[in-house]
Amino acid sequence: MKNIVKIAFRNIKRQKKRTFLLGGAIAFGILIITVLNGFTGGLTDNIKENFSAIFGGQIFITGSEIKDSGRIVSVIRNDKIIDEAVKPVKDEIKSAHKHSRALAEVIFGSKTDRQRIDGIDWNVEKDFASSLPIVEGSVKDLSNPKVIILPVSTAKRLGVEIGESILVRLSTITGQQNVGDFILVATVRDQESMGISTGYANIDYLNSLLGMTPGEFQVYNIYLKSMENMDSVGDAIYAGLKKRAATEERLVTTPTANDNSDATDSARRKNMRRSFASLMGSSFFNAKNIEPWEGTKYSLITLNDMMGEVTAMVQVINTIGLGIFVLLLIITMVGVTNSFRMTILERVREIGTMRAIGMQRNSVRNIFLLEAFFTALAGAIAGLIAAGVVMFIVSRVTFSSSSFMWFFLRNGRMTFTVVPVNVLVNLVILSLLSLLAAWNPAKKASKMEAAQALRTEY
Amino acid sequence: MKKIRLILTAALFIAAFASATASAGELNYTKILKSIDNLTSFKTTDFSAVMTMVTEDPEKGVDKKVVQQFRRDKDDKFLILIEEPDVQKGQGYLRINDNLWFYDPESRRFSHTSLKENFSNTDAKHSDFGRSSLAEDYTVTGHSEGKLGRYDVYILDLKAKTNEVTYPYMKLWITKKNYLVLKVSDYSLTKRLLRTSYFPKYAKVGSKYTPSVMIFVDNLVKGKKTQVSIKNISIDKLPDSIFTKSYVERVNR
Repeated sequence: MKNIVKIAFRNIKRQKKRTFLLGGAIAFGILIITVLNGFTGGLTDNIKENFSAIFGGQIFITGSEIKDSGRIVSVIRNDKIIDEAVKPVKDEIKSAHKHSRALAEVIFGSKTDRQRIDGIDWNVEKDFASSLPIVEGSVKDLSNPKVIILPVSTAKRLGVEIGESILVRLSTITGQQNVGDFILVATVRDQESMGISTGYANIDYLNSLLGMTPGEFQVYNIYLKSMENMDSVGDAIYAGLKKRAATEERLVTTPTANDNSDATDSARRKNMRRSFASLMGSSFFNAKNIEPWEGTKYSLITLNDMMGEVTAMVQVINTIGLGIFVLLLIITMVGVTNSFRMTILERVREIGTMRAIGMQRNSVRNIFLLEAFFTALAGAIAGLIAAGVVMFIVSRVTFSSSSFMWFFLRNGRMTFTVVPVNVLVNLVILSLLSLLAAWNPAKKASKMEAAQALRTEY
Repeated sequence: MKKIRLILTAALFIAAFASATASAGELNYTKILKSIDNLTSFKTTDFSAVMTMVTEDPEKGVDKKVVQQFRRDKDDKFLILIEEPDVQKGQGYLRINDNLWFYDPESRRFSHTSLKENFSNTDAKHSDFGRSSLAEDYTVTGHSEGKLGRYDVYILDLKAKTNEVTYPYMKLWITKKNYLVLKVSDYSLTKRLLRTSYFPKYAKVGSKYTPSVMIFVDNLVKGKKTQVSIKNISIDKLPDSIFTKSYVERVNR
């Protein structure tokens, strides 16, 4: 076997140009598919990270009550049910936050801006304040209930300086107009170009403006230790909530046989839109055509739930990429087959000699198969290295913060996530196709009679 | 003993008279609200008009809109179609009961919006274009009399009956002569003045009145105001099809 490997290597080296061309074509295919897979992997991760930063977590629980007038308001008045539902998976949770949320109009003089504002219990979430990416001002003293922290872009648009007072106009959870005075204490950096930026205020003061009492909140945000456990942790918490209270049906990307009716799906999508709107800061909705309920109805949504359409899009891109890769390989393999046919013709006397000195038919065949395999392997390694270089260079480019691409980027840069399993699958496909391409010529070579081969002259 | 009985009877009589006078007064002011609602709502006819809205925003400049308004107050329906500027032409707001849809001709889609929202970046609320429901939504908490310009007016302080009314507190200036609202101040839950509306001119349409000029001043954003002028007022019957989504789509074809 060792000699067969040696001969195969020697043959590859003997025909450098041919090896280079075949290996180059294979490398190009591997380069394309690896970069594409890396891009879609990075895209998915970045969107998840950005969503997580926007909404403040990976799993979100909202609550809604239905009023006598038929209006739905977003509020959670009793946190015990959530605490109990979360308890079994508390080891998976990095941190959990109880926030109020308002979609408000911030006013300074004659300037206004729309702004989402989160109400934070600064006494409980001391780490949260210190983790904010402060650009200007300080968050050391947040004892005044009227302090507000704004995204730097919003503060710039308003022309407001640290220490100045601003007005915040919002709707209470039941839809009444309200206004509060705030004092700007700090500005934070955020991904404003995504169209969503968050300001932060004292939860009790924000609650009073929203028509809620201290201790009440609107969104329970959960940060997980690992995003990979998002679905299992989400399912466990949802089961816990369902056991203890009324819950909204979750929107699942793969409905089971029992719940795939259009009506159910439409209702779920409505719930999903309402949950999503609650996350964005909307507090009240019309409850037309909705079955009424008693008390608080809980709704759970995970980043993966929100990412359903993104994931589907990424899968389509990956499938198209794989199709292009296989097509490229098939074209290359036609070249491989032709090259090996030529090689066999060139090496007829050599094959005859090897057969004359006692080499078995299988060994002759294996020499050609190994030659094809090693050429493919060398091409694959070159392709992977080239892909690594391309991904490194592209990931160094910083895009403008105003670019719409920001949503797909991390800190303004494109990132690539290469999944080893995907690379392995690509390599297996490549190896099998290479062996298949070389199989017929190799088989033909192995069937040659030694005497006849030695007599052949070209 | 007789004296005591007499004094008690007199005291009871005075108390009853005072109480009756007070409740009669309160009743009067509530009646005024009902009169306003009745005077400015078109419950037996339809209503249509062309409105020109000019919004002055110190940051965004002056914006002019011309819209066609159709109302059917008895069914709580209205349709507002934007005719100018060209970039917004065909956009429509269709109200049926508590539902309000916004139609965007670009995407050809309807989306839900709220009566509590401002109308297309102006200082007018969507609810300003429907029927008046002051008596349903508010109770009178205070009253006084005064003058507004050359008009003798009642000044009423109102408080919302439920926590779902857009403005929790209001102050109205109403002409004594014919119960027309000349000025309204809208307050937030924290009792901050949010908006002042002026209704300097009214047009008489049959037995009803409708403001022909409305000025909405945003009291939070310095220098921001919207003036609405109403022309071509008609109370002729409108086809039922006007208050449908398909009509809004059809006028955009």
